[in-house]
Amino acid sequence: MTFELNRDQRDFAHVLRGFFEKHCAHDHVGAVLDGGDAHDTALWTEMNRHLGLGGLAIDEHYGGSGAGLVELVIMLEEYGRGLAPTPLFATAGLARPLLAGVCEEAAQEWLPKLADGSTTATWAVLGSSGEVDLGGHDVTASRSGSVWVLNGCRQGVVDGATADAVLTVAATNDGPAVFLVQTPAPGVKTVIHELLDPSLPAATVQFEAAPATWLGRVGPGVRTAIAEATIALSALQLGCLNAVLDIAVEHAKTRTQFGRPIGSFQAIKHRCADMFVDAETTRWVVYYAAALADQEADEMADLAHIAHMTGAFATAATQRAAANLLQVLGGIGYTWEHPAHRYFKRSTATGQILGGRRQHLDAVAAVIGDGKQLTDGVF
Amino acid sequence: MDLRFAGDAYRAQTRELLAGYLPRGWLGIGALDAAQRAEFLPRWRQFLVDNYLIAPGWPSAYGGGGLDLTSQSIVAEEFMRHGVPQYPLPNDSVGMVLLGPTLLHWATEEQKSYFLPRTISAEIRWAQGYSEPEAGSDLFSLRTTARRVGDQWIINGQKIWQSHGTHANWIFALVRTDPEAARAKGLSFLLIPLDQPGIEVRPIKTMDGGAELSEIFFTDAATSADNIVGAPGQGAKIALTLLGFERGAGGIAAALGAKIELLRLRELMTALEHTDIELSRRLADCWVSVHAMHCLALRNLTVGAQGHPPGPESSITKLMMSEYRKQVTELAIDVLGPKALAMSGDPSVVTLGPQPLGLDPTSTTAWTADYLHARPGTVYGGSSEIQRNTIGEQVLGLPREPRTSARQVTS
Repeated sequence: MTFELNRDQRDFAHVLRGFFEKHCAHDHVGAVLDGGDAHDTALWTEMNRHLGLGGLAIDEHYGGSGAGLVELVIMLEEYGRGLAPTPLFATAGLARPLLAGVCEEAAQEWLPKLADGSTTATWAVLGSSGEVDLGGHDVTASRSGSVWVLNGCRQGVVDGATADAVLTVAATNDGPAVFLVQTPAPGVKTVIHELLDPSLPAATVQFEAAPATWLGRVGPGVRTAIAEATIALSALQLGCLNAVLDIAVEHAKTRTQFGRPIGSFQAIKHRCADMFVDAETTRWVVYYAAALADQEADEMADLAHIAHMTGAFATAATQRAAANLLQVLGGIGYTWEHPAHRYFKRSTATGQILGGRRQHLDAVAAVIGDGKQLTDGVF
Repeated sequence: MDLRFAGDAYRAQTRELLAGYLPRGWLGIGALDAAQRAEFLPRWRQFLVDNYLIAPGWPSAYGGGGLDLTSQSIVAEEFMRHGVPQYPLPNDSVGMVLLGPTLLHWATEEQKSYFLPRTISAEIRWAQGYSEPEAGSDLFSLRTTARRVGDQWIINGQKIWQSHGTHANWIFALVRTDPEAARAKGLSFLLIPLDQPGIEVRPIKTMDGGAELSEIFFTDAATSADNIVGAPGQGAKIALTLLGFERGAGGIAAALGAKIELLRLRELMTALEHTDIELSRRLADCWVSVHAMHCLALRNLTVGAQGHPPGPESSITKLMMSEYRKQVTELAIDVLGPKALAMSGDPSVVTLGPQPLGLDPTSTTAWTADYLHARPGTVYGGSSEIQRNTIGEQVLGLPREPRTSARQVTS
């Protein structure tokens, strides 16, 4: 048992930290997002051409680097810390595990395009209830001659307005199945709203007889994919949490009131300590989930359970810490100029885009006491 | 990353040992009534001593098991899983978890050879002598003095909040040996026998109606000059090492214990036919917190197994676990509702931890007792506020709160 990042993984994290610090200065990120651009396309090109980030966790025979979920988490942690306005989370965190898990043909056709960064993709996952919809409750698929068409609507689709491919689960006469819609296409309408968190641009996607490709039925592979996506989202939250902690501590050390740094007051110090506890604990909760996924990909039920626990913990911890940050900062934290609001909004948005915390807790509650909970290694 | 336990062979060996000892149909120590428990515990303790498992991490030269940290963790976890206590007698954990590692780190060979085997045999039963009525969180302002007279230390003052002090016959105490030196610099770490005329031990009745705490008065009490650990003036440093050990091993077993408790709480909810979704979510939230503590424990085990002593980060574990104990027991009270007001059923056993395996999950007496026992957890061993100061100052590097000098207070 060794629960730590190895040297290569630490080096990778270090390289990414430097990369995103260089390319995602707060002024730059603010200028991109405030300018109305969904993404920094130059940065996205750089991330793929020089670091191959889009293909990191894609198998080598599909043109990727074949790294595991631990490496994916490292990448998304640093990407999340930088608030990098690029489609990495939707493509590598959401669409990738679904394409890899739904069927071999989909993986063969689409993963190489994701790996080289030429294609961006997303998974339109939420139902109208705001929960993950793997039953196709809000979108139906029907055959029109030799092609499938989708009808229905998905909300809160990350990068839904810009992704080259939108994946979603739709109901068929034969049960729910995963479909892929290439955009732009006739019958696909995206509504872009004014966004709470423009760094994670969520769109409403309407399908009106939208032509779609059938990829496969909803089975264990798709359920593993949603678990992996939840872990990926938690990694994004971990990055947010780390940034929030660092900003708060830096401010507490340098801001002076009553003739001394405010971090010497216990009222402020204890908030910072709570943020550290949240960051450190979330860190190991998220890496535990990633390591387990890499280790026992076949233990699907356990992975789903672990992912729900991870999502529930990371969401609460990140939101607590972001709220603490605003209080530590005082007035400056409420300004548009200071980056705090972007992290606060990120902490709010990530608490919704794969279903809320209640959904995770209800899934955990269903598992408690089913008699299998005193097994050896796995919680 | 490798989440599998390399010590699986040792786990199997431990299970085999337990299966050979425990009677058929064993449900856990919580299933025994008071008389059966009084008969079982000393026998079980002797079994542990005979198998070098009462102090599994101590060197075998002193009667310990000589096990590495990972194997110690496996032992603790398997004991928890089987519902048998690692520390059967009230003072065992004080001696084995707190003082033992401190002596191994700081004491002379003569001190180790004398005290460690006798702690294992329970000939010496330890109490902790840190806090005083006027020195709680501000520990290093303590006033109990020790003067060197001939080949003895003569001790005067008062210590308070000993767990199971009335069962102890020795105390390790932090005392002021140099009244001229500033605060922490004048402190020393002494080992003092309690069976002597200059010592009075008084029980303190606590909120739950029991008396597991005590206060100890020293009036010209004496201990041999040899019974100082480290050098005079090193007491504060030694005391801090000890507080670190308090949060060291046993994390994975503790998380498992918390999980067993939640399964029992789930049983209680089923027995009371609860369908309230809010209570279910609170239960799930507790489960998630326990999972997080399990992850932290794995991390601490990795760091500890590499030979690093517990650092200020260990404050996280203390803070989380003690705050969690309040969260889960408050949930238990809400599950019980008005049933919590009139207690019935078997009591829990304080020294065996919350809700030992085998205890009737519907015992309101046990749940309410655990609810009350959770309260001091965020005070003793360094309050939650002190833990947050430690994290803020020693981990995050935030400035200390300016100290008010005695002169400023009086002027």
